[in-house]
Amino acid sequence: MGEFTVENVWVKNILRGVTLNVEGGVTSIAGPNGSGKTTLLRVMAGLVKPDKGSVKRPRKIGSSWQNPYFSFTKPTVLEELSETVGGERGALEMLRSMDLENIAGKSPFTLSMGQARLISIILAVAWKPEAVILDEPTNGLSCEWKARVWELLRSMKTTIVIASHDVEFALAISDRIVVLNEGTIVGEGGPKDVIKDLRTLGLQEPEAW
Amino acid sequence: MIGGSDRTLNPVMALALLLWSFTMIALGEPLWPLIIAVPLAAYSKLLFTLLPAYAWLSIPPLLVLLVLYGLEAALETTFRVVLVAFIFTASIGLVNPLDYAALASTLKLPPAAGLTIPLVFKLTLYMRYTVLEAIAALTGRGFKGLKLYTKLPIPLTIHVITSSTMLAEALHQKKISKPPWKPKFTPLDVAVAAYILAATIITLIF
Repeated sequence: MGEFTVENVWVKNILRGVTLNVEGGVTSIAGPNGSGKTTLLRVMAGLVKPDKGSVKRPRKIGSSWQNPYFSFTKPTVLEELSETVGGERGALEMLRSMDLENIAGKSPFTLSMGQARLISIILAVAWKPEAVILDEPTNGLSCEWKARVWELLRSMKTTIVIASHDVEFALAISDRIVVLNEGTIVGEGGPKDVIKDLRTLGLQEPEAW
Repeated sequence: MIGGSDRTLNPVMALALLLWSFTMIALGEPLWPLIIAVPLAAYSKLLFTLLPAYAWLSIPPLLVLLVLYGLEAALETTFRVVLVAFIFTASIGLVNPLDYAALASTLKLPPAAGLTIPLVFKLTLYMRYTVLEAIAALTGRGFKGLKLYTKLPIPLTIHVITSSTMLAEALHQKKISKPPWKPKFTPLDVAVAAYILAATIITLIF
């Protein structure tokens, strides 16, 4: 299972001395717009080099970023997935299990934003990486599709890190939530432990909680 | 005006230049298009802006062909790739984008269809900002090394085309895409036409 160790990371004015250790389960990074969530994910993925500090990361990291269409290179969803899982049969089974057979023959570039995001997440996890990083995985998704993402991610036995401003989803899916504000970690813990921090930042708090 | 120049080419002449250049390349006479494409690309002030794009276009085929077929084939193909890029820069970059919309209107086509051409070109200039995004997405799927870079042009091209279409439609909705004028011919058009004619005659005679 992949482990991330982020030690005293600084990136310009965006991240200010972030220290974080993630191993196993689902960890969400929550925070208001501009708090540095995406930058932290990019640092963890190795896409951004920190000005100061160090990052240890797993060798194989799957990821899905804000524009899901950049993940596609094939004429159909089935071909796309077949390439990743190494065969049409496995790809079809995967699509069937997600109730997505109806889009197997479609061009991934013509999918709706929600469908494209879900396929992009499936592609990120299908090659069995040691850890998965997802930036705003529920953007543009309806409740039904969010539930599908939830099912998919919860069924995985790998380290998952999510950045999301969808607090309801983060609270529902996460084993642990890291609250980020103005580039620093202001709260950390289980979903119930960080409710106060989220309320202080004016982030939506679901009624169920 | 793309590239910030006020020196324009008529879209009809730009398309004629494209057509003529590709015909000359197909006939094995690539030097004639080169002689006019480079100064025109420089004249449009886009030559230096696009240098990284030319490098991005030319280095991968050069390296791959060098390994597979040797130096001569690699240089010849890379020369053709860069020449086509120069021709596009020269012909499309020198046209006022709204002139394409005006031409489309004249041809009874939606002005947005005309606008898409220069917008594809203009967005290509800014593509370097989205390259990193696409690399991140493909890396996240497990692609790396040469495989990653061979797949990169696909999402980038689709992104540029879809973005251009959306932008053209947005401009069309705002009703600023149908200019009331018809594109005029300038002294630059006359000079390009004279060159095309002279080069064609010389090629036919010799």
